[in-house]
Amino acid sequence: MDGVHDMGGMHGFGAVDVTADESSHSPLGTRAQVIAMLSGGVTRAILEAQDPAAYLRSHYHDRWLTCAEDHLVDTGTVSDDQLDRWREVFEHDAAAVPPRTASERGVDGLIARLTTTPLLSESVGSPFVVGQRVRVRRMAPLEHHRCPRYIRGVVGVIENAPGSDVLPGQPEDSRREDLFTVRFDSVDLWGDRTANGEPAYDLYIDLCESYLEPA
Amino acid sequence: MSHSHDDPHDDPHDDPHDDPHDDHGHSHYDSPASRRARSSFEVRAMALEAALVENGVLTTDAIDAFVDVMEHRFGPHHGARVVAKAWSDPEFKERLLDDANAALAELGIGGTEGNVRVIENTDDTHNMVVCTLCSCYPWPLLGLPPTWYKDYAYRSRAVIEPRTVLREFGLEIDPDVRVAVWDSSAEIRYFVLPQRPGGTDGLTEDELAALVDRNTMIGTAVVAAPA
Repeated sequence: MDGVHDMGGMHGFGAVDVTADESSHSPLGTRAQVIAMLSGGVTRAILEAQDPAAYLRSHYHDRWLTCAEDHLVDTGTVSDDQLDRWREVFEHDAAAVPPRTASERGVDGLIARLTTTPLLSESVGSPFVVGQRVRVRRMAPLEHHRCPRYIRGVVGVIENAPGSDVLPGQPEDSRREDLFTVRFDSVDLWGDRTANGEPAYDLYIDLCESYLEPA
Repeated sequence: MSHSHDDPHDDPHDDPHDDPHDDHGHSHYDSPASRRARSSFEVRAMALEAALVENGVLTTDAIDAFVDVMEHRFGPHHGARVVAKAWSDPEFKERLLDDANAALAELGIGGTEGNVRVIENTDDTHNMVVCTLCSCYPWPLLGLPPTWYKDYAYRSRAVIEPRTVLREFGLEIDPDVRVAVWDSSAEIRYFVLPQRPGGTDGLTEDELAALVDRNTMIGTAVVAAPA
């Protein structure tokens, strides 16, 4: 879907707060994200489908937590009453902490998975080759995708063909497509912005075959 | 960590949990930071953890292990080590630029969000990395991204006014140098190999690594010569 998360090129967000140097707004930020990832179900598609105003209002880990709460209640994994009961406990008892349990199987398998690099697969074959000019298709997909609006309709050159992957948001055993690193000239994306202090530059982005057409 | 609430709270318990499974010394709940007023975010996060553990959906040791990998096993000290080795060993640098994942595996570096391509800064090109759609980042090499990398200003502007953004980081790119912006939209994570500063000829890899800050490997800074 083309949601508010697709921010490339938008105006109005102000200067970068370069002093916002930590990885989390809260000591529990990373833990909340981990809980959302481990309990399954919170995907990029769900994060992007959040109400746009809520998305913009909340910080990064709050988005993960809110989506996890909504998803896990919707699927009956936890209940609203249960969350309310625990919130009451943690709000009023500064010494209270969540119950602690250990897996019977241990965590070696999890650690092995987290420390294994997920590589792309070999090419599955494609009509496109490195050096070819391609145009990003015009599209308005309702499902999850990884083709930002700011490059659509623009012509670039394939700079690299690193392999193949499943389409974004699809299960690991789905059909694969070749992936291409495409280079765009900034003038083709935004016009000549030299007067704004931005002489031409290169923009590289990875796109799967079905986002592209010959130019 | 920056804490928005740091009201001291009396806490009569030296050890807030006495569960027999509690054999971890690194849980967030063991730290003094937990002995203060909790924000509503923290209350909600703890409640969700408690409910999931209570229902047997997650176990605490798995949560602790995952957090530990993200916060301790991954981190910019790995990235700095890789940069220092690439500066010191031309053959390693060639392998790193050609097939980063294989070269990183030589050093035992790898993991989730770690399918990496290394892009080299040169006299002609300055690279910088962004993820406009979310906040994709090479976790094993750099750890978790800084807040500014996840914020809307950086995500929206890096692809339309990179030099202006870099100026906000105090970095002025020479007009003759071409800027290259890498928008991490798929499952490849980009890592910038910064240029080696002058005056570092005799330094060891460890000494070189100490010069390499996280932002130089994202491309929002360059490595300064030693003072």
